[in-house]
Amino acid sequence: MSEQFSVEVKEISKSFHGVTVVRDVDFDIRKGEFFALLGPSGCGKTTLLRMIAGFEYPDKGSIWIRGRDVASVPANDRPVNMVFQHYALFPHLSVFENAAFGLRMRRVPEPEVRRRADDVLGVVQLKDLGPRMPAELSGGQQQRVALARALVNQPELLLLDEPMAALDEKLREDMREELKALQHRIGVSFLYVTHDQEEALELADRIAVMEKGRIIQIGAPQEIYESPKTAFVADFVGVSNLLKGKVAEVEQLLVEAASLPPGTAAAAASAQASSAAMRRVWLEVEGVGRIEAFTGDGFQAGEAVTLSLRPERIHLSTSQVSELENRVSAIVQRAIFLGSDIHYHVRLASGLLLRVQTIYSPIRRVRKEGDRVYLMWRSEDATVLA
Amino acid sequence: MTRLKARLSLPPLLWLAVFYALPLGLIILVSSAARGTYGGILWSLSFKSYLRFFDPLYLGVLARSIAVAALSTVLCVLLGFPISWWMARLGKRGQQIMVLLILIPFWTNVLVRLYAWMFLLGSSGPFNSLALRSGLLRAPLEVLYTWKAVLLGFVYGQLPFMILPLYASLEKIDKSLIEAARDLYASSWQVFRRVILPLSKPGLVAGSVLVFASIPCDFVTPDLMGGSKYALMGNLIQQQYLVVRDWPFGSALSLIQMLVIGAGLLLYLRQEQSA
Amino acid sequence: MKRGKPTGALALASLATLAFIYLPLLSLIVFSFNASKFNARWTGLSLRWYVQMLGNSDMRQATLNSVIVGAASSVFSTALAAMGAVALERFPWRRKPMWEAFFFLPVVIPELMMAVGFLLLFNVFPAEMGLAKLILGHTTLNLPIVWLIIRARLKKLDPRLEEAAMDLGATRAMAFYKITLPLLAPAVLGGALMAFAISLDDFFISFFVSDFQSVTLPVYIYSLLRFNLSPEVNALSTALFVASMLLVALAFLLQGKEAHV
Repeated sequence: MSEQFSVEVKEISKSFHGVTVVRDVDFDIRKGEFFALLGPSGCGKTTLLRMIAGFEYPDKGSIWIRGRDVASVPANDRPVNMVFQHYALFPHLSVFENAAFGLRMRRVPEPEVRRRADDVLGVVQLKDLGPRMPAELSGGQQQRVALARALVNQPELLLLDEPMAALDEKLREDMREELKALQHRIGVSFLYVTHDQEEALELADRIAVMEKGRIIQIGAPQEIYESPKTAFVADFVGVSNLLKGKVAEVEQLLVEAASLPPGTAAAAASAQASSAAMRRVWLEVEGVGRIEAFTGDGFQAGEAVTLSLRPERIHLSTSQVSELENRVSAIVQRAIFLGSDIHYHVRLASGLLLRVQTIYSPIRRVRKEGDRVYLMWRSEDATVLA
Repeated sequence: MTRLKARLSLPPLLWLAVFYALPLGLIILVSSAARGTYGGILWSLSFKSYLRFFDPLYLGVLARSIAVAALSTVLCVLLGFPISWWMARLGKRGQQIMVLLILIPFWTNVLVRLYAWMFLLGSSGPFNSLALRSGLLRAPLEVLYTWKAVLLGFVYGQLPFMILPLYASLEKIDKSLIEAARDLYASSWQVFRRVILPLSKPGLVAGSVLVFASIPCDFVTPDLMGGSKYALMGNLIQQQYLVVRDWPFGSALSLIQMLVIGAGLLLYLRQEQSA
Repeated sequence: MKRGKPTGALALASLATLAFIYLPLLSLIVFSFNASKFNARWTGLSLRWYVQMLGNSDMRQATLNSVIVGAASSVFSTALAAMGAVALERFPWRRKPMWEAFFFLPVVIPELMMAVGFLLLFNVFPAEMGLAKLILGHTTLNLPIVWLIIRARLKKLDPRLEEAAMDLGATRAMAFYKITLPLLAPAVLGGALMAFAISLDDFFISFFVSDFQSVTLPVYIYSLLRFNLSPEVNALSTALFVASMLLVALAFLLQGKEAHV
């Protein structure tokens, strides 16, 4: 077993009463990595987390931690610790005793318990609150106690089950910053379960997107965002216009990845794909017309596909003249002013509705309802999905 | 893990089997036995005890029990509704205090409760002596040891069982519903008739069942307040067991009683489902 | 949350009802401190009826019996109820509602039926047991109430607390001992007090099962009520009333405390 991973999950599956909740899941977390497990509720991410913690045992597959398959080892014998969704702080124990609990269970000598619990409370900036009871703390402080209680055991991997769910919006943003900084400082690997794509994008080094018990895609936040593998990922991570269509024509010539404009979806896709080469394709998109795009996958002419187009990749203009390859005319249906951004809902001649997002600037005109506009985007900015 | 489960669950389950299911089972068994010469039980299988019940004397007791229970229930509703509604409209603190005040007599021993009335209403008790001295009454009010006193005892004892469920369902009524009804031109009476009363039905039904079901089992209230002159089912059962020592008949009476109460409960559940 | 016009009639009716509820109890208590031997006339404050009550050996014996039966049945029923509640809540059961109904049913069955059942039980299987018969009866009477109290607390306890303890290295037994048990303690104590109060209060089972040697306080009061009404009964009733209130208040206080956790 390699020393470079905190945990290696191999082909695990789990079902309850005949319903498969986790299916052939396979991934690993590198040492010191912040790994997010992202998916909607009911996708199996919590079950997966509980199997790694040792509260559930997989029906098949293995979980390797520190060179040992722990798939059937109970929670109290695993070198991983958990921050529970609502923290599950022991209400009858003080903050200090909560933090010291794990050490006491392992019969660590008293002076060392004192030193380590004090240290870890210092790390989470709760040094003076040791004698308090959990009920006397604010939500943010409770979360820090939960972190301290887990981290004091120096786990190989820290599991966090939607730790922000119990906090209100404003506090959540502060705690995100703090959590990221803390992880950086102590260097422990984090497995962070969330259904909030923004949280995952902001915090994680890598994200695994789960749907219906399977991991659909694993990658760095930017990769997941720029080149989602499926329509589900495109829709779940960020907002996307998903357009149905058919491959009309495939260019035989390969395009070197290096020649693609940097920062485009196609460039990100080719960076992720093993084959660095891309191919130009033309699609017949329902309600839009003929569209040019790039793909690294071997689509054949006639194949049904979905085109994913991020709202912020679409340029909105009143002039037809443009160097961008794709262009379609539309009527503004609604303009939503959001301070830094403006969101438009626009309707094509075919009746199809698209979302467009532009940056607000006082010197640029805001389009009004009923305005005729042209939508334009580079071929490299759309993603072709099976 | 399953061994721990067995170790934990076996003692209470055994206890309930021996000291709960067995005694109740014995009532059924004994009801079909015959009475021994000096009391006691002659084991046999007969329905004599049940047949004996169809004597006008005993049927009359059952009818009287049901009538007294029904009348007490109605009186509890009439007495309990205004105060429940008033409680439901108090502030949070006021509601807590009132619930406590209603609970206190509930937690008072039944004998203490009854004695309090016997003492108050006795021919030389504080009520009569005060009324006589102040000239309010010419002759002492002789309520004690009449059927009115029995009814009073029942209503007094059962009132918390009516007020608490009633208050609980009234308290849940969204106060803006009443304002909405007012806004739509309802008069006070119409608000009560069309909004409050229908919405308080669960509490009304629950309270009525509780009151109705517990009265036939009580033999102390008729005994003390009525001076043993007005026997209900509870008294009949008690006499058969402790005085006449006809246990089979007493058991049969108990089972008949349970059936009557069970029928009442069933009616209540039917109501709940349709509500 | 006062709203609309204060309906004076409603408040008046409610206060009248309250007076109806409290007038008898208050007059009973007040006149227990009356110096006069005659019920109705107030002649001055005195504790003579309390003194006379304490000097009454029958009454002392009945009190002792009640306390013994209350304490013993409280301990037994609490132990059994705690076992039953933990077993049902913390382990998987097929047909759990059926088992719960089994525990709960004694509350629904009228007390008179249970009293009758015990009378038959102790006559069909006769044994010289004296107070023990009462203890057995009261334990059954208390069991479902204590079970409900402890179960309510267990249901409110986050099962993740035990998981968190195991995540931090505790064994299952250790997690129960260190986390669940301390958090359950107020409910267990509150349940025990409630059981004591119910036992002290019980008349029906005691009346059917007790004999001359095992008269409890309510049974003793009943015999007094049937034969002689003296101010001493006021004193005794007041004492029983106060004892019940104290027990119940303490039990509620303990449960109120757990609500804050």
